[in-house]
Amino acid sequence: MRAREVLALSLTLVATVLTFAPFFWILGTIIYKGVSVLAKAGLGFLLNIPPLPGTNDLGGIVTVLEGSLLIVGMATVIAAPLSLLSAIYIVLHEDSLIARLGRTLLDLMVEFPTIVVGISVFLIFGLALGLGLNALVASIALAVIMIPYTTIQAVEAMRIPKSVVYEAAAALGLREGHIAKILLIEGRGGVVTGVLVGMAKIFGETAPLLFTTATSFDIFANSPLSPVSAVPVLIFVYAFSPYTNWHEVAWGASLLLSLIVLSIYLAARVSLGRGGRYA
Amino acid sequence: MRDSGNSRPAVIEVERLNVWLGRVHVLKDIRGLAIPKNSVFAIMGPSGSGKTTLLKTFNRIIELSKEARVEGRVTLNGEDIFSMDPVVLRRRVGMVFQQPNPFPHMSIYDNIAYALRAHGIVKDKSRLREVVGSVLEQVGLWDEVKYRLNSPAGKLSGGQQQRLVIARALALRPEVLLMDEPTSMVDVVNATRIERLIIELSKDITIVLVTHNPQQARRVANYVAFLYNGRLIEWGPTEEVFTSPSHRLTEMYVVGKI
Repeated sequence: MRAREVLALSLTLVATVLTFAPFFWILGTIIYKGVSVLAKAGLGFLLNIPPLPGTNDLGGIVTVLEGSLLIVGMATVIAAPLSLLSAIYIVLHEDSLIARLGRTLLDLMVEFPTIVVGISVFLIFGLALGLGLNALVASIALAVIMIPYTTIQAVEAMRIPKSVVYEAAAALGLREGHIAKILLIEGRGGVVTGVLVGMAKIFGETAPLLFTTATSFDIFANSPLSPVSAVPVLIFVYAFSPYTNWHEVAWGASLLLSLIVLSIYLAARVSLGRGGRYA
Repeated sequence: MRDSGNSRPAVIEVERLNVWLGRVHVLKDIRGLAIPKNSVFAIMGPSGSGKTTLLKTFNRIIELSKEARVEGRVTLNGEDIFSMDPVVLRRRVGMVFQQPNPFPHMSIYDNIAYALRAHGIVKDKSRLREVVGSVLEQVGLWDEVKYRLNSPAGKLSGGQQQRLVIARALALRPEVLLMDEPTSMVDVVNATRIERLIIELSKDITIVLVTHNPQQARRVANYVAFLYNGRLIEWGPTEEVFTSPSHRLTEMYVVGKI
């Protein structure tokens, strides 16, 4: 191998290591700091409410975990059908002006600052429509963030099968609705992956929740219209607090949040693999 | 144009047909073509002669291409196909493509059952099983797949997939079955089976077969048409066209000179 090739290979290898190093450094720190907290708190970390100021115990994060699960679940219920239906339109009418505009807007929406989404949803739904701060408003903010991720993935999942099966389906005299169902069946692995990727994305979102959730971490959300809080907001508030035990809770919650997000991504990868591939 | 010399009524008739794909004039004034009922009608010609375009015009699948522009008259049992709902037309005129194209992640069973359910042709489950079994038998696939009807169709071999899509088309009981080089992507054994099937099927339905292989046309077709550079050069009973072609281009084609 010539010296220049060795140099080029070394540079690209070093760049690759540098690319992934921050991720492993962050993950390593969270594991190092978080595991001891989870070990100390035990199962109580999942069952107890967060500690109040002036107490020394670790408590748990049950209320914010419930809040996160509720708003992510509701956001998925709002975003998934909208994403799938718009993805079907974009795939079936890919040459139309609306579909082409839609594809461009989706790319823009992915890059859109989530804090702006949060404040806009708060102003429109929380203040103008008078809904206040509750789980529904928080989940609308998260749904707006989730939609482009899920839609883009669903479009890609159905676009490739379309090139293979559309003509065959049309030749059977099937109408568009039935062809869309075939595309969903054929691209189901990628479609499910899209929903999971969207869920993983919003599970860790903090910025929009700063405007739409409460910072009272000891309350359970009883209904979609109840005030709610979430794991990322607890981490944000507790990390900047003066209390040592709150810092520990923030590390434990960070580890748990990371494990949840990584598990969802893993499920997404498995789903994509099971869905099969088109040549 | 040579007269078919046969009393079979025509299923498809073509007059003054012109097709453009973008700026390319693919089919040029095809006229006087009458495809006899319950026959195997082969369309042959060199690459780029417009065979597949002509076939795709018969079920208007050509219109899926945004660039396509069609002028002229094509009738199915006397009805102008361009005045019909394309969805209805495609139920009556089935199609099998060159590349086997089952819905690969759908089960073998659902590949056939899906369109039957979607069209509301068969609603009863046991009747649906009967129809699926019967068309699989018809294409000689039943014994090979009867214990794995729930497996994805994509796991079948290429030849089996092609027979499955023929079964899928037959399940809708079409009046005409268009076949675009159905044996070109399968092995010799499956190609022979499909050729036998084509002859068998023509007892009940009309088969329009596109082939780039004149020998195949001679083996299976009752009638052949020869297209060259988008023009219909001649058509008629197979033996007549092969033994005494009326046009020099046809003669050159059947002896392999073009």
